[in-house]
Amino acid sequence: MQNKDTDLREALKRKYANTPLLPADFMANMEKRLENHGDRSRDSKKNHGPVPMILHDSLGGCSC
Amino acid sequence: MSDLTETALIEAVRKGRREGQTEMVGRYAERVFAMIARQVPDVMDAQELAQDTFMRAFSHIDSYDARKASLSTWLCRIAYRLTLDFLKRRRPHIVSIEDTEVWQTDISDQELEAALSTGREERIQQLEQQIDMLPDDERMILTLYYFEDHPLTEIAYITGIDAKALANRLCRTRKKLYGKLKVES
Repeated sequence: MQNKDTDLREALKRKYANTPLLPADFMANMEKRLENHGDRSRDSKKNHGPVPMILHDSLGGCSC
Repeated sequence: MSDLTETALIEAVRKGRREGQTEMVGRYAERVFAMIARQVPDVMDAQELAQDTFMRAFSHIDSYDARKASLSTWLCRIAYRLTLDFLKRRRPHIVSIEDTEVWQTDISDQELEAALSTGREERIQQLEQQIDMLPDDERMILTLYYFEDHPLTEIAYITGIDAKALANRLCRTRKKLYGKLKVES
């Protein structure tokens, strides 16, 4: 069975020989995405921050 | 790359610190990207999936358990799922070759040995083609084991398939591939 595994390994090695490398701008693109995500999180916090108060108000100040 | 330990790195990511996130990407991007790019030929798609993997990791870092797997293996687990989902969406029209062609998995080990005794070069070329025709999950498991050299326990964690079932599956896939060669020759 040794042959079988060796052949499979060889076939996979050849199949993946031309797999592209990590693009040079990967890190920069990732940083951008993190930046956008950070902005969105901040915006959503800004927009949703007062929600509990509004809900509280909409209940007419119910304290139950 | 900094000399942060893995524990400190995880802690930094848990606290949402940018330098922790950047460090994690710096350490593991190559590996994660390569794993995805072997299955997803378009570089832009592979890049986006690799980024999705890290974004998912950052938002789910609390669910990471260092006792179960290394950070790298955990990232591979996320990448595996995202890649499979992507391929499923991308190629919904592809029917598993099992449903359309004859795959012989019931051949004996002796028959297999006989099939292996001659024409190695041709056999390897045929195998390369047959691997392409495997269902995505089987091809990925085969790659994780034979190309990336992950131990079965790690592949079990990555794929969520029990190690014993995985060993059987690998054996079946091997027989399927060689059975196909036998049918064709």
